Amino acid sequence: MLPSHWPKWTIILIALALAVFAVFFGLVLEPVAQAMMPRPTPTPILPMLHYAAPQSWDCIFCHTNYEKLRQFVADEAKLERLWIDPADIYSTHGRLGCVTCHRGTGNTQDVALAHQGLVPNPSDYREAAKVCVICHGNVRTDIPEKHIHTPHERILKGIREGWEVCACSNCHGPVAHGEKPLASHEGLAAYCMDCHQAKNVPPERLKCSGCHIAPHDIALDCETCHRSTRTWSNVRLAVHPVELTGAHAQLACFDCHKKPNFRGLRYVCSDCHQRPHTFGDENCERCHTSEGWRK
Amino acid sequence: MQTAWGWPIAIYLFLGGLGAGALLIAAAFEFSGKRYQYDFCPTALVGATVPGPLLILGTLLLIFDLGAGRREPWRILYMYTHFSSVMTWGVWLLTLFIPVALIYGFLEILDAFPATRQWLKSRRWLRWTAFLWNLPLRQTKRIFAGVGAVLAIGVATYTGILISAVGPAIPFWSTWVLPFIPIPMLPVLFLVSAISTGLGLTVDLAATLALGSVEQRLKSLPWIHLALIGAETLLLGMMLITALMAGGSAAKSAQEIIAGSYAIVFWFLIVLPGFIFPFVVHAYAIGLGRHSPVSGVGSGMGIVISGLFLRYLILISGIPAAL
Repeated sequence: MLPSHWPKWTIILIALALAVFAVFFGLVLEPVAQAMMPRPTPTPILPMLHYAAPQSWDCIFCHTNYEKLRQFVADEAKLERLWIDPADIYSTHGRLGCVTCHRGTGNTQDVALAHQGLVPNPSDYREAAKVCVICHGNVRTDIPEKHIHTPHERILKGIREGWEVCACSNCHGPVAHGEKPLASHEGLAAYCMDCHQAKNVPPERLKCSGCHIAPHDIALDCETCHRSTRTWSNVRLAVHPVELTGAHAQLACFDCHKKPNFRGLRYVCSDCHQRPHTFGDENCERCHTSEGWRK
Repeated sequence: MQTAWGWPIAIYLFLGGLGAGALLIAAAFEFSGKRYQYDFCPTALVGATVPGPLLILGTLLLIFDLGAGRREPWRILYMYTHFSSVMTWGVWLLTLFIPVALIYGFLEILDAFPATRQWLKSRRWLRWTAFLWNLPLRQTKRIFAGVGAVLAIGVATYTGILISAVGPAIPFWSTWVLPFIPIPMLPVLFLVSAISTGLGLTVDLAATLALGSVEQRLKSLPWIHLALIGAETLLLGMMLITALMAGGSAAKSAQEIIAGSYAIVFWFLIVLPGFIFPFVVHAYAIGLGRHSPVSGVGSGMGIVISGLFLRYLILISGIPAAL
């Protein structure tokens, strides 16, 4: 193919040139191909956040030091609220730095100047678009692995469009200050309930199923069996189709039933018990009671 | 779409894969004895000499893309000691691969063009290279081909590992081989693609341009191509299906590739030139029993260009995970 008078080593240069040509061809052709399709929107990423961790050390110096804070705050309750555990500075959100979210003025020990323009709650609906939503702008409404569904989509829309919606911290707490998200169910429920009742939210949204996705495939309200907002395992047996007495009343649901859908039981003794003797038949109740096999 | 990594990284990934693949093909010719069946073997010559310069170019782009790399390039030295980082593995692989590839290429030139040896010997300022002339050329070359091949597998796979390591942030990049096999697909796909592009450059392009009738020397060439195209199609298809099944931003990436904003790049710059055209050409060559030089060069160019766009598309279609 190549002219016979060309030295054979020119094939090395040709191969290199072809590789480089492929790159230039790609650089020219890609914009042409892309121009024929709608341009995708770049996903907002972290650099849009005004990152100011290095300017936050003076804030940290005061707010992790009780004695320093006491010079400016007399009220003990307020002092407790303003004090920050030094360990929280190294949490995921703590590492972002105070000034990044709360703004104010960094790199100053002048208390008045430091608090100028301070945003006490950066997750408030008026501020969250510039802070939380930059990273958490695409939060799921249904979180099936945690059995939760939330109005995230509506809240994010509200934040973006400037409606009055709840602040992220109402549910998730002050995440940079060591509080675990959704740690306090009671406080959360009270907050949601108060607001929803005041705003005439449909009553079914005030039930457990307003936030929780039931893992069981049964048409009962959660409240029918579960009676604690601290733990799901605290249940009452009010709806059991067969009366549970004696030793059976002491058992947990899933000692007998299959998790999570309560299927597979025919309400006969041999569902759970093996016959340890050869005489008699499957009807154990002829001889035994639920108080124990010996009775 | 993610915006942090663009063309410079895509070109680096492509050149890394192309160089590694080309060296693997040259090493395969070396160890199978094909290299010595004829006086002149353009595949081995190109496969041995091209990877070094390609990887140097790719590495320069990589350094250029790092913000600190432009201002303070010496900071790349910090990356040699952070052994838990995938980037450190890559820095070591490149550091070892580039000199090995350059030496292998140099030895191949000495073997293919004995006059070069005379020219070097005759230069007074190159007298310090005298120790080279006592070395057994082919045995030494074979050692570098073997070490280079091992490093080439590392370089080709590493480019995929680097991207998939960003997985939690960009789920599409860490898509598993299958939904129940927790191994990232990209290293496997990039390795197969590297071999494919390497074959495209060294055999379809270089050998066809140099000799014309490659099929006389390598009768199994169309079958090898069909196997590679089949494997690449299967892996890419599995990756897209697994991503679609995973849901979330991984599925969104796959949708954008198949029928969204990147559909033209995917179908017309990857699938058509890199899969369909070479498949038809090589299937036709099997039926016909011979290869046309034009179809050989066309298929080689298509495979190489498709390899570039494959890496670019995978990079650019990454969508950050919802937090």
